Parts: sequence; C-alpha cells; structure tokens
Amino acid sequence: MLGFIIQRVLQAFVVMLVISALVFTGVYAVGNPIDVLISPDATQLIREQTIRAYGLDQPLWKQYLDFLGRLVRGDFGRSFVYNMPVLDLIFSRLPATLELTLAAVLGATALGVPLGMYAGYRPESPLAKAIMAFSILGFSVPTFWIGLVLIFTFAVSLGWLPAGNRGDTAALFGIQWSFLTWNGLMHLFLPALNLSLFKFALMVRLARAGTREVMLTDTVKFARAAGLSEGTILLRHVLRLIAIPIVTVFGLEFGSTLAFAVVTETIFSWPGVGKLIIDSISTLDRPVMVAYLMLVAFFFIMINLSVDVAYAALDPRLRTRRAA
Amino acid sequence: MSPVLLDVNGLTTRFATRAGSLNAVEDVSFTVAEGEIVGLVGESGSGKSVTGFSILGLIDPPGRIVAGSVKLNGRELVGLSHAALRSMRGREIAMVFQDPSATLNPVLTIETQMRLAIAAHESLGDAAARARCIEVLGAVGIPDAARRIEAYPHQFSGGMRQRVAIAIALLNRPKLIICDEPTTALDVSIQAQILTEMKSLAARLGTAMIWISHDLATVSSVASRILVMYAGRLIEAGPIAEVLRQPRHPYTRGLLGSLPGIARPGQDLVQIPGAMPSLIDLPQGCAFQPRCGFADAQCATMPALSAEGARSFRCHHPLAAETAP
Amino acid sequence: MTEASTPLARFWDEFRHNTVAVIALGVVIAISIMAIAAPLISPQNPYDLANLVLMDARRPPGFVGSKGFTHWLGTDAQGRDLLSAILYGLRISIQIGLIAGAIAFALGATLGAFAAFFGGRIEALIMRVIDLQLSFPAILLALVLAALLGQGKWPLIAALVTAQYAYFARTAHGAASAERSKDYVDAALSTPLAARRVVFRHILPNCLPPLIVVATVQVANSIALEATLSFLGLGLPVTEPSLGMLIANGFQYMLSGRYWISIYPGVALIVLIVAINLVGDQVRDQLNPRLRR
Repeated sequence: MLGFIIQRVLQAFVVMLVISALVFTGVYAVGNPIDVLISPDATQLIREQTIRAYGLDQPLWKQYLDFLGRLVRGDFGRSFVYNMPVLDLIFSRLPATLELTLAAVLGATALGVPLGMYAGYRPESPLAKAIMAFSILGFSVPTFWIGLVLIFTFAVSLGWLPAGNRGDTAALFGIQWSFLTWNGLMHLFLPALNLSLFKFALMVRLARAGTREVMLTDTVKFARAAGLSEGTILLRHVLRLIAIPIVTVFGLEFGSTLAFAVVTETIFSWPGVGKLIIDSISTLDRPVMVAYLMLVAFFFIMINLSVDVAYAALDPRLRTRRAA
Repeated sequence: MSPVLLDVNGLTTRFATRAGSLNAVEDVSFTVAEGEIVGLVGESGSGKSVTGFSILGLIDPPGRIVAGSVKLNGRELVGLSHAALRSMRGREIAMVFQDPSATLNPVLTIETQMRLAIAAHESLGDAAARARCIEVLGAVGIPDAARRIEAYPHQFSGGMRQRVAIAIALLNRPKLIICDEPTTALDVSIQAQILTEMKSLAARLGTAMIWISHDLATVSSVASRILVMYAGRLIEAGPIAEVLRQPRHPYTRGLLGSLPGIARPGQDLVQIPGAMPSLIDLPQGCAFQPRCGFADAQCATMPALSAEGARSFRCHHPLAAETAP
Repeated sequence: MTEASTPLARFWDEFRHNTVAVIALGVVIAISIMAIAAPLISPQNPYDLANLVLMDARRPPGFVGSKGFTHWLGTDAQGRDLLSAILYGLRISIQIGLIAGAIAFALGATLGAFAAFFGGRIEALIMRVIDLQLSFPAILLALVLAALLGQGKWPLIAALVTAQYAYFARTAHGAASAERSKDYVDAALSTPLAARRVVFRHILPNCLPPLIVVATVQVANSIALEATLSFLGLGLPVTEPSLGMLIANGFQYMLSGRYWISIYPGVALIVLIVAINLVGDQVRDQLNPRLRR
C-alpha cells in the first residue's frame, strides 16, 4: 500500500511539472507579457527597465526555471488589479468556493444516489421514469441557463430567495462561512442548487446503472433466499457494491465542480475564486491566472490521488493484490 | 416413514415474455419428508431451478405462480404476504446456489454477511451472533473459523467459499435446504468431498434437502428419492435405486443410457436424439414425443401421472420391467 | 419486415421505431433549416445597426414596433427584434458547433488512430497527454484559451477544439487498437502501401461508429460550451451575438422582470441541445454492439 502511494505521489509530481511548463508557455510565452505589465504609452526606457526587472530578456528556459523557483517558494507574484500577493488573494476567496462546491456535491450525492438506486430498483415505475427524464434534462441544459431560470423563478418572480452574494457570514476556524447563518444559508441555496444539478444527473445515472446490474446478480438472490429484507439488501449489499464507481466519480467530479463554479459564481455574484478568475481574465491579471491554474491543477492531482487511495480502501480485492 | 415436511401440489409457474407466455413449471406435485434428501433432475430449461425458486416465493416478474399449492408443515406458502415469505426464507427453507463466487458479496466480510442473515430473523447479541457464525462455519468444515470469519470471500478457495455459502444457509437452522447445483462449479475432487459432507450434515441436523442437478450421478450419490423433470413437468418419480434399476419413462432411460458410470460396460453410450423443445411452442400432448421411439397417436394427449406403489410416471407407454436395460 | 439494402436504410429502419428520437431529429432538422434560412425568414437583420430603433428597445412580446411589424418575442436592449436575433444566433451557434466538432473530430481521430497504429513510445506519450487533458475540465481549458487568444470566431473555435479533441482521440485510439490487432491490417501492411494509407483507408473507417456517437454528443457540447463562454463574455464580439451572448445581455434586465430577452434565446438553445442529445442517445444505442441482440 505504501509503495503504491509513493509511486502515485511521484507520478503526480511529474504531472505537476508538465502542467507548470504548459501554463508558463500558455500565459507568459504566448503574447507579449510586457504589453500587460506596463501601459502602452510608457517610454522606451521604462519599457527596457521593466523587461530586465521581470527577467524577460533572459532565454526562455531560464525564465521558466526562474518561474519554477518562484512557484516552489510559493511566490506567485502580485495581482495587478488588487495590488496584493496573489496567493493571499486566492486564499481569501477560496472558502466561498469550497463552501459552494461542497454543498453542491454533497447535495447531489445525498439526493442523487438514493433516487438513482430507486430508479434502478424499480426501473419500470413512473417515478423512476420521471427521475430519468429529469436527469437527461440536467445533463443537457447548460448550467448558466439553469442559473438564470432559478434566479428568475425564485428570486425575481416569487421573491423567496436572494439572487446574489454570500449574505451574512460567521467565523469558524478564523474563516468566514455562509452556512453558519440563516441568512447565509438562504444565499447559498440557489447557487448550490444550480451547481449541483449536473452532478445530480450524473449520480442518478451511475447509481441507477449500478443498482440495475447488481439486482440481477446471484448475490442479491442469495441474500433474498436467506430472508434478508429488501431494505437491508439495498442498504448493506447493493450500496456497498455500487459505492466504488460512485466514490471515484464523486472525487473526480469534485474537481470539475470547482471548475464549473466559475459559471455559477458569475451568475450569482458569489465572491469565490471562480468569479475572481473571470474578473482576472477580463482585466488580463496574469499572475492571478497563473496561480489559479496551478492551484486547480494541484487540486486535481490531489483528488486523483485520494480517489486511488479510497479505491484501494473500498475494494478488499484490490487491497490484497497491491499488498502482495 | 417420517412425516411430510413439504407438500407441493399442482404447482404451475408462468412467465409472460414478449414472445408469449410460457409455463416454466407446470402441474408439479411431490412431497419431501422430514430429513429426506430428494434429487430433482433435468436438463437446463426443464424447470428444476424455477421449481426451487417457486417454493421460496422468489419468482421475479414477469414470472408468477399461477396455480397449485406449496405447503410447509401443512402451512400454505403460495399467496403469503411478502413479509411472511421473507421471514420464512432462511429460517424454514434456505437455498444454496451454484457459483459461490457470485453469491457471496465480494466487498463484505464473511462475518458481516453471516450476521446479516442472522439479523434477518432474530436479534442476537454481538457475542452470541459471532459464536453462532463460528460454530456453523466449523460444522461445514472451515478450519480456524474464529480467525477466518473476518476474511473476505476472495481469500477463500472455491470449495471453501461454497462451504461458507452453505454455512449461511444453515445459520438459522432451516428444516429444508434447496441446493441448486451447489457442486457444479467446483473441482471434481472437491465436489465429492462436499457431497459426502453435506449428506452427513443433513443426517446429523435432520435437515431435509432438495438437491437440484442436471447430473444424475451426483444426485444418485446423495438422494434417496429422485424426481425427473422434462419441459416443466414432472415425468418420473420414485426411490432412487428402483428408478436407476428400472426406469419407467423413456426419457429417464435415455438419461441413464447417456451416463458412463451407469451404462453397462462394453455397451455404447446412448444419446437422446434431438433437443428439448422450446417452452413457447411445446408439441401437443407429451413434450417428449418428438424424441421418443415409442411415440404414437396416443401421445398427442398429455398422459396423466400414474402411480405404482412408491413410484409414479407420466407416459402412455411406460417401459415394463423386461424392456429395461 | 422489409429487408433494407444499404446500411443507411437499415439504420433508419431501426431508428424510426423510437418516436422520441424521430421527433428530436425533426426538431434538429427544422431548427437547422430555420438557421440556414435566417436571412430570408427573419423580419429584420439584427446585425445592421442602422436598422435598429432604440425607441423600440426592451419591448414585451407582441409589441408592434415603429417599423410596423409585430415583435412576436419582444425586443432586446438595442431594439433588436428578438425572433430575428434568435434565428441569426442559432445560425452562429450551429455553425461554430459544427466547425469546432468537425476539426476536433479530424484532429482527434487522426491522432488516436496514429497512436494506436504506431504503438510503443509514441502511443504512450500521446495517450498520456490526452489522459492528462481529459482529467482537466473542458470548460476550464476553453476558458483559459478564449482568454489568451482574445475574442472572435476563430479563437473561440480553437478553444472549443482544444477542449474537445481529446474525447475523439481516446475513442479513436480505443477502436483503432482493437482494429490494429486484426489480421486484415497485417494483410494491408504486407503490401507496399504507405503506413499513412493504411491508417486512413483501412483503420479509420472501421473506427467510425464509436466516433459518430462521440461526434453527436460533442456537437451538442460545443454549442453549450460556446453559449457558456459567450455568456461569460469570452466568446464572440457583441456585434454578432450568438445565443449565449443574447442571454447574457438580457440577464441584467431579467432582474427587473423583462424576462423575454434572456428566456426566449435560452429556450431556443435548450430545445436545440436536448434534441441533439436525444438523437445522439438513440444513435449510441444503435451503434453500441454490446446493446445489440
């Protein structure tokens, strides 16, 4: 098990290196960063000074090494727009995004898995068909459009829920969270719902397909023949058997949900990192873009790693094979 | 003779498929006495497994029992509520399946799976439940049961896995175990081992068994009575020694003739010509007539089950003692 | 049942048994025709700024404008007739979805097939990069690229292609690896044909069914992604609004109850995407050998 983890960590390290090279080329080498760093009407002298100050006169490989060196030291530079260290800026926005993403993914799983299991358990029932039709809709309709409809329905027409911002927050571990106050929860509800619909559809499909397959196996027949109730069979046998793909997707989707939060945060003006990156893109705040990309990549790799480890923990067959 | 434990009478199970409805089991009647081992033999598709599932009330749609009765100790099981059937399963009648690697849940420990089976019927304390599991595992021949109970199914060999499945079936001390080809998926040497062990276990516990198999040789080594099914119907029944010595139905003789161990030395193995007809379009009358050398116009009507002493058969032209091989 | 002669006829014979898919296909065709014929059937040219009357801006559906015709779906903030804007927007959305899908198809399929054909280190390298990219959300890639390349049709298409070619590559690689191991490829290679010819003439055509399935899904995804990018302000210039841009522009007015500016373009977008997905589902079921009996 330990050897397996070490091997995956090494792999993750190589991937990070590759990504840093890609991000460097993408953000620094494509286009001329100097145009962004100084105003167009700067004098030639200032221009050359800036080029030297940022090391832009160095060969590309040296620039990349410098870039890597700064990354390792956690120095992502300063935001042009906010004029503060990028890392501080991102970390100040991170809780909002984490809160939103967690609420969405947890909600989608808590609701999607049981409904999907039901749809797989009684595939011919009207409720199962309704669940599936809804999940097709959740799959095809773009997130931003659902967000608009939610705002129009619940915020504009009915006036039940607020349509933007985080609302009141309360501190926990020195960080401000919305879910700790009633007002904050109300603000969290619509964006979390918006972000969760796609995941919900995905969870429903996964749980349904898994349940349908498992229900036909001899494992279930044997459990029935031993007198186990349908509830026990679903909760103890089926849920454990379908948990493996669900946990995998849960992990992987957590990452892509972070990415999709970009859209939801923009619509609901939720002050998280997603909104920050959109703002940075429109203002060409390159240090923020670089830091965001590197952090997201890091996040993704960590998630992939934990999914692999969780896999080994959930499937005893895998565990022994690897230990052997 | 021991009192009757299970009384199946006129059992008919029908499946409504897209191509039409078919009776996988039709008008099947037999009894199982307490502690008795009855063999149920037939080709695949003859309805032997469906008979087993029908007794347990485990027929999934589109199938259902449309006629007949299944009485356990005089209590009618057909038409019982789901809850009543569930509490009967495992506690009064249990079932063991063919492939233990498919029946046991690969992601749960043996202990969890056994404890779930106990918890379905009674609430025992932790220690008592565990003790019962270990005791039964020991009884089916799992060495070092107290330690092995925490293992997962994949950590057992095929034979050991089937022993675990049998242990789960025995956990709630049922009066009857339906064994659906439990040795077919195992190595030949282990087959024989499990066969003898189960036979002595049943004798010791006084458990009755219905041993379902396509293999006459296996059945003849465990069962005291045999039932032969063909195309959903029971076509011959009787004490095993008599049926083997002197089959009355031509199909049974065909089965015996194709058996290397039972056919006489030097004699060619006989194959039954043709194949079992599809249940969807059975011939008028006796389902075996297209493959039968004795068939005539009379066979276009379904022969009744005629009884002669302990034996019964369903044929217009039963083989007499002198035509038997 | 009639024995249809060509594969296409047989395909259609099976397809038409799914009523939902047939209706969806009808919708896709109808929308496509309306989009192609937009300049002919729409009441107004929404891109001709001289044509727009600010007096008529933000009027509700059914309003009769100063030009004398009825705005059945209302007007937007610039006084554009929404019906016309939607028809033109559909035109752009479909166009971009198709072009991006086609380029991603060609690029991805070729890459995947070559990787499978050459094997060894080249295969390992190509597939590693593609797996890496697939583990990254497509929207993020498209977002960054759209930001780096700037606004416009071709940067947008480039972003969409980058976000999507990997799906084609992986599918083609999977199918081509299976094909590669078959005897007829060895037979073709034993003749003095160039490797390129073997890939294009023999391997790729046999990988088509799974690629077609991916293509239907990806065209729908392209359209949705384009709308999302445009909504975020990273898509096409404001002068030629696609559906996503129309929705984005109407967003601010939605809060004041002028729902139609956002809702109607959105409905058009959803109908198009859902219809393509429904057709795609049926095509997938038909081409999936595992579901065949």
